[in-house]
Amino acid sequence: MSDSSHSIPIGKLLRADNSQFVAGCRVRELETPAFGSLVRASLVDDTDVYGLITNISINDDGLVRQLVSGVSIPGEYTADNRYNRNLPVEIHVLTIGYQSEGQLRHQLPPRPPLSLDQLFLCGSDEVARFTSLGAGYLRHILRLTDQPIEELLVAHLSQARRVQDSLGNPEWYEDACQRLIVLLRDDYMRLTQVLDALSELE
Amino acid sequence: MEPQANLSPENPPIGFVTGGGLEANLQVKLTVPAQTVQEGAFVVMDSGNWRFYGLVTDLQLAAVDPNYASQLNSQRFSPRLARYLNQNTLYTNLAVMPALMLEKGPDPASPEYPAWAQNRPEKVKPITVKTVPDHHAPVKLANAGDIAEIFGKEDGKTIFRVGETREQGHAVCLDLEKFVQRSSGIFGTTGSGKSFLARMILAGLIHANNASTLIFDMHNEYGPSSTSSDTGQPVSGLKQQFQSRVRLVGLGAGTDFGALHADFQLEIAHKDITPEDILQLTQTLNLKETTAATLDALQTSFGENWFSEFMNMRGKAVEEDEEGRRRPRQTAWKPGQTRRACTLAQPKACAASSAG
Amino acid sequence: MPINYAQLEHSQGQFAADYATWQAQQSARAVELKSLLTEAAASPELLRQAIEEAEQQLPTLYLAKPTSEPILTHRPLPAAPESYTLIAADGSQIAPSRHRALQFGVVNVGLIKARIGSGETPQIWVETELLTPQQIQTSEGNLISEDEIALLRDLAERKRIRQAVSSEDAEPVITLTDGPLDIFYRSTIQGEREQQVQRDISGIDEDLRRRGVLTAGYIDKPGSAMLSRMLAVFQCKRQGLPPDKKTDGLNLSDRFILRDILDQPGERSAIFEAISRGPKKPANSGAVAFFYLNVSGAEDEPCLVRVEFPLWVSESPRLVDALHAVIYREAQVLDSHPYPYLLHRAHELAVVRRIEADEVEAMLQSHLDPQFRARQRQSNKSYLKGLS
Repeated sequence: MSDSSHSIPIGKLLRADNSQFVAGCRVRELETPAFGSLVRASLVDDTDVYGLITNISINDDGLVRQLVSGVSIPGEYTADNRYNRNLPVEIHVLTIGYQSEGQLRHQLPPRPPLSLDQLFLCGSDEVARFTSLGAGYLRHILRLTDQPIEELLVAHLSQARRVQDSLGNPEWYEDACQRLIVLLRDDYMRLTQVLDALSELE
Repeated sequence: MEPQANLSPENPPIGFVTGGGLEANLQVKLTVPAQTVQEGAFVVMDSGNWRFYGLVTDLQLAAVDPNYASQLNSQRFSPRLARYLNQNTLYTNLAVMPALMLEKGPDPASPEYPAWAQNRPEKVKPITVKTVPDHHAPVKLANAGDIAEIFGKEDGKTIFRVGETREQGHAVCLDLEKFVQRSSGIFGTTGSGKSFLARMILAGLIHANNASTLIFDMHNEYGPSSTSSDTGQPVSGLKQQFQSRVRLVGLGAGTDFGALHADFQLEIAHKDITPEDILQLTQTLNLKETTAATLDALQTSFGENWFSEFMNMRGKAVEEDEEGRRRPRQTAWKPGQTRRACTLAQPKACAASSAG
Repeated sequence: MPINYAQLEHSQGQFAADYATWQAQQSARAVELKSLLTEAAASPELLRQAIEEAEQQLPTLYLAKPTSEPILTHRPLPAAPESYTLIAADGSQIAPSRHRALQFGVVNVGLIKARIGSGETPQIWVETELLTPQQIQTSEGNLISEDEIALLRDLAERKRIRQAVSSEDAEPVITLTDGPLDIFYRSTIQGEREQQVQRDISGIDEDLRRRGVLTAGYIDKPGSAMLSRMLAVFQCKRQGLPPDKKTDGLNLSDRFILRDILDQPGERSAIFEAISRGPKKPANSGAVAFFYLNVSGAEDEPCLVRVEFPLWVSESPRLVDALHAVIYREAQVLDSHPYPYLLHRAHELAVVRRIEADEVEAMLQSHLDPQFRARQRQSNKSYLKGLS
């Protein structure tokens, strides 16, 4: 189990497969996780699965839909729906690596996390440790086809860059940019969209 | 990753083989800035047990996707990202004409080497290229040793230095002994240096002194000194360089070379001129078809002095009658009589061409 | 297996015709009853006498008894209080079944309490009670019926409601449950157990009354015909017949009679007392009053529900208005299908799914002494039902 003293628990696993998983959290906990953050699911056998938050979705059900179309709802009942009813906010996570027996890898884990495994937000030192292994894990982000990846890259890279710069490794970000270009250069449209977004970080 | 065979830090690879073949040139992707390589550079490519030698014949700009090349990335993205983008998507291809290959064998330090060396002659020579290097074979500019391998090492005797490689100034030599065993030609566009090279080779040949040299110097470029039409500088002639070992021959009596005198003048006796010699000049002199018959008649009539006689017949020999038929002139010219031109040839043109 | 639709098809035509006849009969009866109502309104003294006689003479009686309000009253919606406390409770149960491997009973109560006007998030509770083996048996040793366990559930609801009321709650404090307040109307339990439940409920009612808590029952799409019965008695009186003589008309649900009167959204009817008397009925159950309320938000679509409350509330117009306004407002939160929001949430909290029942059974099994575990066996019938 990695050092979780700086990690903030943000939810529990709902469902997972080898390359991604979904955790649910209560609305209250929603203040902490952010799009593009590095998170960690701690498995029972001391394996940790790492991922990036690719989507945070807020769900509805029949009752919420009824209320939405209503004329006036007392504030107390809005609060009731947000905080009492078990509609989890879903945090969608893309798997980008795992740690097992103390060894950190940027490959997909052999097994996905299980239901109700706890999800933690990674602190700066964990982000540093994960990214210091190299920027090759960025290829996992390129797997996403159902959403624009540039926003995710910008969100994540600005965090990773901050951490690596503070460690005195500005070349990490340069390497990451170069790697992205090499990975994406055959897809002109995608690469230019990513670079447009990244240019805003400069 | 490209193979790392035989690399030295002083001569790092400039690229690697990506495609192409023997008929069309090999394609090489350049991994150094394009301006460090010029067309005409000598390159070597190591692949397996072979070293290939080739010439850069073209440089082509290329891109992973033409869109990267057709827009100014620096205007759209931040300067740093634009730089990375250009580095990773824009590149230059070399077209390399493979010429020779040399079986250099495995690394002398490796265990396979003794077995390989056993069956080989001591000194392996480059042969005409018959196969191709592998994909990704590293490409380097030829170093002094490579140039020497192909062209030989200047030895002051028969391996004669005719110039240097443009990039690194390695000596490019000619083996004059081999050179004189074969017919050679120097071809090039105007101003590319044909005369200069020829002059140098001739100088080399004379200096090496392993062959006699007969130079038909039609424009007085080699024998006497002259001025270079390109640079305007004086160029010393072979006579000046080699003095007594060079004989300047003037063609025809009275031919001279300005301040320089001809060592002798070449004259040809009339007796030595045969009708065949004349016939050889049919086109140049614009001779008619009937010339052969006429020559035959002359020879029959006058024997070995036919040419002298012909020259003496100037203006008198042949005339045309009213029907246009030729006949030997019957009477000496008389004032008032119309003079027919000699249709055989102009007497002056018959003389061997003289210089100047 | 799929039903024999072909057979149904044959009967469809006849059914449609019969249904139409029935509907026509009902419409006709509604017209009759409406005019009877108007006549009764015009003769309040006669009506009062008729009801009094019926109360005296008949051992079994079930009808609406007018209070001080004229029976044709239709009151518009008053303003709701600025702040109030609303507690809704609902319960569900797992009834013991001889078909299960293990016989057990569970009563599950969901409770939600909102302090309207405070901005606070409502509090929620789910209270799950495992009944003892004694509780799930009758005195003869049979398993208790669905009805009996429902009674226990209703009691549990009321107990939890009482627990939820606190002295700091903003007044008025209104509690809401689904169904009539009189929980004994369907009960078949006899004997000591039933009497104990009675006592417990009376105790709770009394306690809540002392604290000024307004307990209300909400009946959606009410089918009761208490006004019909009242008018039948009135009719008998007018015709000089004994009150129990059957009239030749149908009983019709009260809401059909009042539809045209309560045609404005938010209007309520007059308050009536619910007279419900039978041989099995305990004598000391509290008096219950009710009014009908149009919870619809649109003018041309009246939707009538019945709201029940203890009779003592009817003596306070302020409380009645509060109840009237609050219930309507609650129902309008889900305005496309009006129903009190908190009651719906209480139901959501209380509901037990089939799979949960199975899980509870498994949990209990695992805690049994191994020697008993082996003997428990699901009935073969139940097992096979569970296969498909």
